[in-house]
Amino acid sequence: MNGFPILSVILFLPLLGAVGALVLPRTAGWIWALAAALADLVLALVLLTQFSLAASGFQFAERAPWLPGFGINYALGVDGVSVFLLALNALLTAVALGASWGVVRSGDRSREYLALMLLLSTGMQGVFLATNLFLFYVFWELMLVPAYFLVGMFGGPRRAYAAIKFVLYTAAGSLLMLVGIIALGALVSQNARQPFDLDLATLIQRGAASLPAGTQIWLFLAFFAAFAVKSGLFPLHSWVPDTYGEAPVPVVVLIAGVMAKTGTYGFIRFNLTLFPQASRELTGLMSALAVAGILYFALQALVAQDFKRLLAYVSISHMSVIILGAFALNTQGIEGGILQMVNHGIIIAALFLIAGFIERRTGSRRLADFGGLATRLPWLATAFLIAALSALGLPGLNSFAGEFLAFLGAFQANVIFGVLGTLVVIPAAWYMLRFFQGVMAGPPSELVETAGAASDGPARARRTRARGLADLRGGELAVLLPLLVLIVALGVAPGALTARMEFSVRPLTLTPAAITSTSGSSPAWPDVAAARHLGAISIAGPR
Amino acid sequence: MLNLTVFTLALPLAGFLILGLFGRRLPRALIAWIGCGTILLAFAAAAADFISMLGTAQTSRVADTTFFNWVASGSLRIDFGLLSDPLSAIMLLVVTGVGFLIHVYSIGYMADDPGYWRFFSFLNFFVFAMALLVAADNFLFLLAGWAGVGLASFLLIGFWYTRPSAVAAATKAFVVNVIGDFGLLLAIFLLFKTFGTLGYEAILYGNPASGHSCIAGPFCPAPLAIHPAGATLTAIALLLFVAAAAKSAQLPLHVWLPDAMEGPTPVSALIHAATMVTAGVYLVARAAPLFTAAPGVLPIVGGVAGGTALFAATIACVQTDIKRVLAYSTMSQLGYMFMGEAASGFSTGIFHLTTHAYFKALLFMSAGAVIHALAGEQDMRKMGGLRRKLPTTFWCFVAGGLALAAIFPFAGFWSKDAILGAILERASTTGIGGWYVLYAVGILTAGLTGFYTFRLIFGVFLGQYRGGEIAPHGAEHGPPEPAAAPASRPNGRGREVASRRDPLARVHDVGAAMRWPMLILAVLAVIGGFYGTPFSNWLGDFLAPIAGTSPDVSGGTLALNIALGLAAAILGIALAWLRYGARQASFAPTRNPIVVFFENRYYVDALYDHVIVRPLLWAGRLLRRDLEGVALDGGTRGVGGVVGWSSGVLRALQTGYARNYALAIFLGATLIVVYYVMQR
Repeated sequence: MNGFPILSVILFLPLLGAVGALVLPRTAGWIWALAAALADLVLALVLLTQFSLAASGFQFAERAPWLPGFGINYALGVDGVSVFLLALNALLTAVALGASWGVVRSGDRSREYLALMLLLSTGMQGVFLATNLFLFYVFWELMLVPAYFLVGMFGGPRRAYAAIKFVLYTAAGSLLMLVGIIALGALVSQNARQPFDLDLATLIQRGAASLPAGTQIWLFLAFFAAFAVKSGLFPLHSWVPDTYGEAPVPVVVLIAGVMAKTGTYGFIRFNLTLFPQASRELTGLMSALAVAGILYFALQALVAQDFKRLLAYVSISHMSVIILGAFALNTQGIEGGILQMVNHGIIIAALFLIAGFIERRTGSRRLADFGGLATRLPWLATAFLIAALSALGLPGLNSFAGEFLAFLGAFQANVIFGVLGTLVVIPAAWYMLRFFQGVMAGPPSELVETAGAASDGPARARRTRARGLADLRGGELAVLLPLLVLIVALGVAPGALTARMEFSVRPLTLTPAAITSTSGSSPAWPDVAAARHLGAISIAGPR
Repeated sequence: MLNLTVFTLALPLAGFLILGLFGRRLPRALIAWIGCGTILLAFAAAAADFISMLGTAQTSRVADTTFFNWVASGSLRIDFGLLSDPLSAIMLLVVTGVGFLIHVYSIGYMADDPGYWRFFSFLNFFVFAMALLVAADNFLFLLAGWAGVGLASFLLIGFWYTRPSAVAAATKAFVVNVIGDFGLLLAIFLLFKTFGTLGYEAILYGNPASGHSCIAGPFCPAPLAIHPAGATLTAIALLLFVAAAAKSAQLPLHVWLPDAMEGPTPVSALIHAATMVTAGVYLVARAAPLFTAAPGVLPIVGGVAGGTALFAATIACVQTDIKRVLAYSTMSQLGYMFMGEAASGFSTGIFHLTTHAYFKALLFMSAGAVIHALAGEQDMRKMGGLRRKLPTTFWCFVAGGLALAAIFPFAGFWSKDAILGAILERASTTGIGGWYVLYAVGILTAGLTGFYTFRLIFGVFLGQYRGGEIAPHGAEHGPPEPAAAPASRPNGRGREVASRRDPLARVHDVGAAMRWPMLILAVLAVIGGFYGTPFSNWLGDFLAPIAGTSPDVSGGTLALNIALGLAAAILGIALAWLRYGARQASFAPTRNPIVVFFENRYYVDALYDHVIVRPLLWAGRLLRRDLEGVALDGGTRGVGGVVGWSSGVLRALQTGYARNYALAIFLGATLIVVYYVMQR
């Protein structure tokens, strides 16, 4: 790996794919795009194996001055938080592209579609890789543009409304974050009497984490605006059901599977790291919002009638678990949150893909239309059941490990929030089984009996209906199987992931004083108990 | 000492995977061989463990094998490890032994079902999960097994998945069980917070050799260095009991078990009578040191258990669906097991668990044979007089019934006697009135047990047949298919030929695959209690290192207890004889308000539906309309309206407008950045 800029390659491979997809004929473009995504995945996996378990701080760091006068550098790095998300993004990009064959074959602006998907992927890789705050912001906005077009151009009947709502929410959040970034850079450089610099490492070194608590809270809230919207935190979630409901399934796989994680990732990467004192003071607020979301979204999933909207609520309910874990501010909570980012991405992708397969076959996604589909699609039902069981937190499948750690952490930090958050396992079982049983079990409904014969509806649906109700096909299995394998594998051995998080998470559980004293230096961490003691003093004192 | 427990898990798991992935294409004979063979081998492994344990000194009958680290996070470290100790050995023998017999029975019972492969696959998965539950060496993998058996139960209750009632019952069972899982999760969190670990050894038993210690108490060789507050222990024990109550259908979480009878009868026998529902009894026995050390918990367990035993027995007296009678009976008997544990007789609970597994599995199998013979009929109002047609089934039913009614010397007599004896002993030593009340409840329930058991037997097997003509069997089975021709037997007996319209002409007794498991269990129902008599309590001694010694019952207490228990049971049977045996049984509807109240299951289901389910869904819909739809969406809806309007006006430019809009945001953001940066 010496000297090979693996992070830059991971970052720009999807872009290369996008260029190819634009210029090549559409089938070749699709293959090219898929190849780029798979190559990206291979590199991300290589990175995972090369990643050192025993080192703290950013690894494989790359840095080049960009606009040095403005403190803006091209700085990349991975740690035990982002290294998994790179792989998740690469995997789900490949899966989403694989599931896009229908769009490609129809030839309806398929080149733009593929290019936008890959551009989105690059934007998200950039978000996970950037270690300069301005660079982060650039990628953050870069995600928004392709996502907007993908929803607005390729979505369902209400796509224009959904796309505008999506942009309004996320752009408003982003702008506040931009103000926060600039203010942070200014304050830190002012305090340290150093030139303006937005590198994360530099900011920490100059004591960003020990800004006065009042200032930290304002900055925290500015970043919060962007991240809370992206991760669908209650009550800023209103865009989520509309967007997930209207966007084409492969796009939802990327938005719900990966882009939502940029929000929770941001909380861990920036809010917890840069504003530790504010994080501690606002932990009650964050936990309360997370718990409110966990339960409220579960309730909405319970009464949803359209199963893509149902999955949207399922998705943000689980995203709130990640936030609850992260703001427990202890090892189990944060590691559970990170684990759950990966798990949630895999599960929600699988569930949306399955929802898409069902809709493609029947032309409907109204729960009331369904029943008894398992009689005709037993293998799809099996795949659905595995994903559903994981989503409801069955031990032995992947979601359980992450949720267990997150709830355990939350419980250690605050019994009330821990208990209320954990309570969601009951409605979760209920809404997941209502969905699964409602679609798959029971006597076959009229729609299920007649699907394959009806002739109304859009042309695309008609073409697919002509093939009748075929069970899981080769291509569908190919995109679903890796996800199902991961659902089982990560459920049986989640330790493989948590082992890589240890050194990146430990600093986040330390108190502000301890972070400042050890920032950017050797991995000689102080005794945790002693650090907690110090922190208790510094929090108790006036700012 | 051997620890082959991993094979007890791995073989059924392998069977599940093979049958689940390839079963659809395998011939039925091979499916049966794989399905039953894996369980037989698992039983062999459990038996080998057990035999090697018998050859080991009582103080060192523990073998704990760690396989891999599941997760490590901060100070939390959870390994996957399997424990072989007296309690898990007994449980594994019951699970795989009774499990094997029920697998064999299923070969016959499910022979006509199109989902044959699926059935054996799920059944194997159940045995795997149940073995994990009882063999795990820490609370987390206990939870994994706990949830796994819940899943197996869900899959098998909903096995005939095109029946709406089966689907509803499956979902109900799963969701109610998740309430128990929730309790177990919280107990685990609190255990970790209190003890910093989740291993049984460290929390419950201590191991001086490895420097671990445990909670103070009669089981503990070296009391724990940490002294958790009594309130904490109480909270942990109560949370564990919430889990136990959900899994073992105790009040108020019992609502799922009667509905679970929607599953095929072998499932009711294995999961909803013999094994899974006893997991709660196992958990309490496993955590006996915690329950003993936690102040005030055992009386609560006793109260809930006594209430459940009586509650379920009263309902069983008025049910007419034969499987539901047995389901309520199971609930009631589980109540007995918890009652014994509440009186600190943890081994008596396990004793009754084992004998109940024999006789209740037998009763369900016999009920299944009746249902099978009558092509799916489960209503005893449409039965009667079946003794002549189903002699084997009848005698098996009687053996199981006598054991259930606790008649000397059947298996149930010894175990129920042990439980009631422990309670009476507890009452007389403490002198607390509550224990006497619990004992009275136990005796009353024993009388009701005799009544409902023999009401069932008399109603089904004696008197005149009250049903219609029986179609070729197979009607109980799932997705309709051409009915398989029943094994035709010539009706050569004169009486039957004379009556050509005999509605039972095509009814025949069980085939070999169903008969042999029933006969073996019938033998066990007769002799299965001899390892735990008050005179030679082998089982109690064997379990003592884990479950503690039970209260010593002897002399006058013993005699009084036996006399009262037998008298109550015989009185119950006599009443059943007067009402259903001596003359033609009448199941005419009654307006007796008490009977109506019992028939409606005390209106508990209706109460839950009106107080919890409906208000919750109503609130969800209200919030969807007012919070999601108006409050949170109002602002953006205005914008959406503008967009809709403008797109109407500028239809041709819509796409361009959107692009420009996004571009404007992007450029605007960039300009703001540049502005701020230049300002500095």
